Amino acid sequence: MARYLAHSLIFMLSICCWLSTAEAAVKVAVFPLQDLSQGDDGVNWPLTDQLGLALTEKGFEVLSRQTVISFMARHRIRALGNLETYAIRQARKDLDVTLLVLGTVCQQQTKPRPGVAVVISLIRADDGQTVWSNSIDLGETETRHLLGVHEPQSLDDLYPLLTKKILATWPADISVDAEKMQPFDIESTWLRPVYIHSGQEVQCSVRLRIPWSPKNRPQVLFKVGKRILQGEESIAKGFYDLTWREDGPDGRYPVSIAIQWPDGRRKIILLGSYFVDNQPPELELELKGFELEGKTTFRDRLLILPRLKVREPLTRWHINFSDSEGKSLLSQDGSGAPPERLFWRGQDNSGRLFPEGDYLLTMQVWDRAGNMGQGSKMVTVHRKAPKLTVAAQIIKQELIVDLLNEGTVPVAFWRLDMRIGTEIPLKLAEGTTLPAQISIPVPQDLTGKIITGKAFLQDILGNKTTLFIKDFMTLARPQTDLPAEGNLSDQDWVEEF
Amino acid sequence: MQPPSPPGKIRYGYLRKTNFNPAGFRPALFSTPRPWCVLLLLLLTTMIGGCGTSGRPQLQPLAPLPPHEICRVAVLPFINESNYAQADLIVYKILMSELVNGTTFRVTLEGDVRKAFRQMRIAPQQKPTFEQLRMLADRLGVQLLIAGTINEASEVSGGRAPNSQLVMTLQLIDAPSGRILWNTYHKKSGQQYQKVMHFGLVSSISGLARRMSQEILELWLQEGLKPCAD
Repeated sequence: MARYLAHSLIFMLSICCWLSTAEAAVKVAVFPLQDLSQGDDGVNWPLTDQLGLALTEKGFEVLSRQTVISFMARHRIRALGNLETYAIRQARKDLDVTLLVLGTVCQQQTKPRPGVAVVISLIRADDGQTVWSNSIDLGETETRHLLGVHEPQSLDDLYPLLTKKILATWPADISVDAEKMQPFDIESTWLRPVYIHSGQEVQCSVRLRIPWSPKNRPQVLFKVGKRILQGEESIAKGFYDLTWREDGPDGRYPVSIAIQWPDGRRKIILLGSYFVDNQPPELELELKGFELEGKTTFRDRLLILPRLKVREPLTRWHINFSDSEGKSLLSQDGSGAPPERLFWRGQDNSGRLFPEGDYLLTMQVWDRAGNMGQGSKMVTVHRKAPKLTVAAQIIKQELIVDLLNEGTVPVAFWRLDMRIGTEIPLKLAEGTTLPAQISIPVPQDLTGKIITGKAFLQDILGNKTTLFIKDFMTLARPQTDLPAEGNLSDQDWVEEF
Repeated sequence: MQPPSPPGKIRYGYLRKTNFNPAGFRPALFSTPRPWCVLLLLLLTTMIGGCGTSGRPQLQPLAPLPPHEICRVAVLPFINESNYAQADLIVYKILMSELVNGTTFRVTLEGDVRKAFRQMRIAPQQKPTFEQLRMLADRLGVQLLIAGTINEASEVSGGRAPNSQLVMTLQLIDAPSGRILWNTYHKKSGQQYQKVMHFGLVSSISGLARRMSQEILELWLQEGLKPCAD
């Protein structure tokens, strides 16, 4: 009898042990559920805890909330609802878990009726594979019953239903298959510069996260275009650096990292590309001024239109004005492409007007590879007032006035206002070409009166001249001295034209 | 199974389902209009009226699929053109879930995809360039990429007529070349799933996204997308 009891006891104990080991074997980490209804960083603790509890009741060993949170803090995991492979690998190592549960509450509402929509995923820690996932929505129409009985009234009523639904489709078998995780992880890459010209150096740096054992350490090489290059290794930190000089022709050069393990496995991963560009940008300067004697001439405003023959992105520009001796008088820099149009008012940086003369305008632009393109043109600043000559003569009781432009710049327009005395209008003449001749009959009764006049001339650059003629009759007499004429500045001309 | 459509031709799923009613046809039921017939007709209209689930996804093949089976796929973060905040995130998560649940693809973890986007400095709501697509494929070790845009999303909850509407466009991209293989457009409202009274009505974006994702995946598999054996 005693023997029978002993056997029974041993059998019972072994059953208990088997049950306890079988239940404890599957360790699960339930990560905080992301709650999009509370914003991108929202977390839903009630549902997380409910899920953890349900899994515990199902027989899984669920890690405590504190354990999971301290793991996330230790590995600086800030994102909710998803994990990267590296973090899963760390969870397997640090927490010794078999499965990870991640989830997101996509939508949640309490009014007018409670509703919730979640996505739950189960990730196998051994290979980082999502082995099961389910999206469930319990909305206001899904939870409504025909007769309205047992309808959930709050989220607290809804969560158990939701958990039950999640676990109803929980996979029965979560076996680890042969495919393991990628044996490495790229933490960061660096490839600079992306645009170069021949002869420049390019630097590439890769940091691989998983240090391999010396026995299985693969050879890590860089593939640049068709060349295979060996970089510098900092194995302890997982860094692989390569700096090389590129002398190849224009074109795109892909850069990859080639990893070859001792067992013959190979992996090539594209890291990025760089471009060799030896063609400087072709810049043309179009100037909106007046062409005089082969030079662009202006008085107070020059419009500069930089144009690229072939459009391409530019990184910076520089414009400079220098005098005939090559001395720089004004310059300006800018980043990116130059403005589509630039105005120059003929002033230097402090606002002083440039003296009259010829200046060399030069503009330089640089493309992304540092190639410099240049365009230059001669410009002339012309501010001299036009030289206007007024002559008069009397022939057969006709007063004939001749206007003559003695300057080199063509006339924009002119005007002659003749009056008896200073008030009575006698003749108003206008025109756009010179020389010009104006003829009027000599007034009959000029006793004690004089014929005065005001002649105005503006050239095409905007320079102006005004002449006052005190007495045309005196001017018309060749024997006598010329009447006094006043050349006024622009500011003295007040009459609206 | 429907035969695959010729390349470059848009398939209009719901046009195919439209019943052709020849002129002059008159069912015998209507030949003698009696009160019970009218009542029956009203009842039938009420019951069947909500069953308009004819809005099938429209598939536009742009290039042939790879001849071999596809094992690893990655879903790129979606672009949200709608006024519904987070519609891109919701549909993304649900499509990922349906891919894992309903197919045998090995779906790259969302965390790995987002990390690659960060490393390559691709801003949220920005479409990767061809080169970036190739780099993503290389880095994630996938054969196929799925990109998506949420064109419209709206939700009316509560009241007498809760409803939702979702319009999305998904693209299958050949990972090695970065070329778009298939373009799929799907537009649906929650009322199209309604059966009797309120039953079947989908009132949330999440519910609609789940059903529409299932329909799109079903169509892709029907049209010849071959996931590798489990």
